[in-house]
Amino acid sequence: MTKLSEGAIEALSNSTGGNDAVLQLVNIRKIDGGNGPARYRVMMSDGVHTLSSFMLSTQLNFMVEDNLLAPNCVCILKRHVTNILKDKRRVVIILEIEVVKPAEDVAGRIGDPTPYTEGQNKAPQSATNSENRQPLQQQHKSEVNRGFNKDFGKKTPSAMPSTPGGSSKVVPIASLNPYQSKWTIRARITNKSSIRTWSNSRGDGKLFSTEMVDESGEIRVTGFNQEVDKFFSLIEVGKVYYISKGSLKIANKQYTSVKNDYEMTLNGDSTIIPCEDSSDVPMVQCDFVSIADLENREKDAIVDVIGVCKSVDEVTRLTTKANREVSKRTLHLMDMSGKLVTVTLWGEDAEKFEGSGQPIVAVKGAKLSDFGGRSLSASFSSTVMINPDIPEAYKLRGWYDKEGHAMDGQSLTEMKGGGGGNTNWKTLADVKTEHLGHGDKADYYTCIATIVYLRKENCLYQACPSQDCNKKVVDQHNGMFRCEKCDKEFPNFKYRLILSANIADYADNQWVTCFQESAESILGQNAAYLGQLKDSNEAAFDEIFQQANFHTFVFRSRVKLETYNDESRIKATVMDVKPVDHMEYSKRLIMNIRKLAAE
Amino acid sequence: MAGILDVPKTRITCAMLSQYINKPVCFVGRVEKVHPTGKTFTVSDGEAKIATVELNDPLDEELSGVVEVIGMVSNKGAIMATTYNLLREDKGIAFDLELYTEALKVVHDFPQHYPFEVTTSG
Repeated sequence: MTKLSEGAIEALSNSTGGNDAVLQLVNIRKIDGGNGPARYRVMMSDGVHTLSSFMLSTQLNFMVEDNLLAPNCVCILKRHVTNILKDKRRVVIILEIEVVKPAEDVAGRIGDPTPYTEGQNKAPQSATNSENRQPLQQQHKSEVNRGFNKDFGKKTPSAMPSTPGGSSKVVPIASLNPYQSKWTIRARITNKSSIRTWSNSRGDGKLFSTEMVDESGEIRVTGFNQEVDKFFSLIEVGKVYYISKGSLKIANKQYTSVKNDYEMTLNGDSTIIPCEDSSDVPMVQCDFVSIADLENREKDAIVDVIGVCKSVDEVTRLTTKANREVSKRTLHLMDMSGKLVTVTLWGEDAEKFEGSGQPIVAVKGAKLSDFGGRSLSASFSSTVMINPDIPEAYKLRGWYDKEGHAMDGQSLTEMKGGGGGNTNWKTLADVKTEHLGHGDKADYYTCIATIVYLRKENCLYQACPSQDCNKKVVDQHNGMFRCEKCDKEFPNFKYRLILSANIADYADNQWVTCFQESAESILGQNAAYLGQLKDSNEAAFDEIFQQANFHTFVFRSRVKLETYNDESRIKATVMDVKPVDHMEYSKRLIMNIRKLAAE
Repeated sequence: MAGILDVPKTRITCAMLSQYINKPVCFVGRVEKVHPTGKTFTVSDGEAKIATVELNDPLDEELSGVVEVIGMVSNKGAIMATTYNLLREDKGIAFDLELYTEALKVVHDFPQHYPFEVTTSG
């Protein structure tokens, strides 16, 4: 016959212990709590008393759903926290529980327990409570005080929670839930976003978010407006803080990869206090996925990866649809699976990344994309760690230095001709054989080609002189030029280029249209000067076109099948013309040759 | 025997020297150490391997940077230079010796696609 820990219920409801208590589960009930995860309320017995105010922490819900926890089973309460609600009721949150005897092996109720009522022991209880607090809690409490005094001096007394029984004791992150308000967590900051602003019909504001971790789990914490001013500069990634009085709500998983059903919002009452003695708080919680396994993951999955940074590309800048300029940089990570994957860093991460010496790079919360096979993107909610102080990193370093460096890893990310991840290098023959532009969307490609013919007829047109309007004007033959788009007449116009060029590489040729900037790059003269020459010195004008022939450039073009009068033609428009970077070009050719030879 | 400047010369790396003994070659490398006599100096290729260059006449200038040497390979694997040409690095793009070596290896690895094989020997 299993022996229950008699007296444990009393101890638990006094918050004076009760860990490792052997208890019998009497009843279990699901609480309908809105849209969040299910919560289970449990009644436990120690053979003398029963107590119904046990709550199962959500990560243990599976134990109920899998029927491990069922009425009459006997369990050991491994870890718990006792919370005091506003009305002084106590709730014991079960963090870890082990079933020692399943329900079907227990004959029925053990002993004849009676419901434990707190009232009966209330007076002595609160008296003993403040003195007989568990040593562990005492310790934490004094730590709170210590850290506080050091960093905040005089503010201490008012901000310190002082209600007896209600003082914020340090609880694990895993035990946090919206139904309790008095707690303190001791956690390490693993990620901190930059300040972001929003502006919409309901007003504007700013926010920042951080992620923090302790030995029990992790949580995302967001601060808005005043809390941004108050806490943003205080919080440093990698440091440990005591945090209390945040508001908890159901996590919006769309914005985060943090493994917690809840997230925290800082409010006016929240406090964040640096903690000096932090060595026992874990650094980061990562659930690393082998690079080879990325192939089997869903697109848009959020994953943690760690790898040796085999190579790094240069920072490039690009303009987003919202007309914001961002920096990006791609890294090539390899792990013990011998596979490589491309990881794109953005913004500050991209600019500051220092890839020399092939560091170990861990990315927490990277987003998996199926772009070019499989690739990863480190978004604003990802954390990029260089040579992190974690066992996986040392293991990987050892492996790489010993054998990995000699491996010719195979990349999951298709190197489209290499040289800057996403450049879609094609020969002009490829463009035709692969039917680029025949799809619903336009295709973009980059090629190295030589100008073989430039059509100088109609390469200049008279455009509206107002800024940003390049519409062709109609000559009114009275010294005025009319722009239909601006619905205005102007005494002048500006010349703009629309140049038809035939470009060729070793395999094929193609007619392309070049507008203003790209045409100016090819001709080496600006449109205004060309217009002037055309009107004044035709020989010099012709000479410019002659000179421009047989120059080789890198063309980035857009191709799309367009239909005029029932006739479909591929229309190629040059987006960008750049001089050839021969070094980069040679590298790409050598890589392609080696790749072809290996096939 | 035709002058070495008139015959085709194979471009090689240090690793290939032994296969080109008594043959005219063209070697591009970075000047490492110049012997005090000025009659010989060492060069490294893009794989950081070292070759020795021997001259008929002592150098009359400071030698550093990337140099293209034309000469015959001796029995000992040294390059008996007929002439050399310093590649100026102060103008335009610096010479990427590693890349040059990689390209050279491609040329030698796929002779069917790069038919530069020297048929007329000196």
